[in-house]
Amino acid sequence: MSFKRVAIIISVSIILIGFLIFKSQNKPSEIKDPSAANLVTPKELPTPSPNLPQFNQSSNLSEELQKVKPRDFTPDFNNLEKSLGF
Amino acid sequence: MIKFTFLIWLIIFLGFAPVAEGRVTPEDIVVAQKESYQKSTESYTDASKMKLDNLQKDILNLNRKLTAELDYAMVVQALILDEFEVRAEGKYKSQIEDARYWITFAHEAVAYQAAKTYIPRVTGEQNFKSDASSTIGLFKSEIFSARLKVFKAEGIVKGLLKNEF
Repeated sequence: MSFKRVAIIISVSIILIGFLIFKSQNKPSEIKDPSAANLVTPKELPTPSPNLPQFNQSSNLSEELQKVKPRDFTPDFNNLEKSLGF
Repeated sequence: MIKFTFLIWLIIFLGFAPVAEGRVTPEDIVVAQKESYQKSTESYTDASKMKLDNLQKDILNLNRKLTAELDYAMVVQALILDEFEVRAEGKYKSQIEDARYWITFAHEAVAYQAAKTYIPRVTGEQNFKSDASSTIGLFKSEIFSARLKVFKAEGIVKGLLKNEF
């Protein structure tokens, strides 16, 4: 292969690589993934209560599990709608 | 040789360009939603804007409250599993690992939910009630989905505790 040919290949390669890098840095204007909506980088994650239970050999684990069973959130939503005047 | 090199680069370029175009981060979506929201509410009265701001604040506060409850439940479930593992003394290893997986999965879902922000989709100043209901409906379905995952993890731990010592 002649020097001229090698130079042409290298030059074109550099131009194409530069173009690809430029493309990857450009933010797209059209939203393509609406399913990921409503997300932001987590800044304020809930911190667990400092009063965590301590378990030992005598603890009834089934009872302790029952205590933290998630409650129904419907009343909270009813209150929210009420506060908005619905 | 040159033609072959050009062909290779053309294939790489055509393959890479669409991927670069499609890369959208969640933050891009939120920023776009905020811009759309600000544009749509430009002509709203101050009173209507205040109502929408209060809606967002109320949803944010409720999301924090409910995800904090779910997060606490997950932490306690993990502590219970730890205590069970101590008592098991090497038994039920695969069931414990399975339970730990589902606890982690649910915990991550709760953290994911806690990070969400809800920007109302506004369709007009006179449609506040339907816009608010639609936003609350989305929030409700997503928090209940996170809650369901916590329930699933709880069910798995409960099943394991039937072997309680």
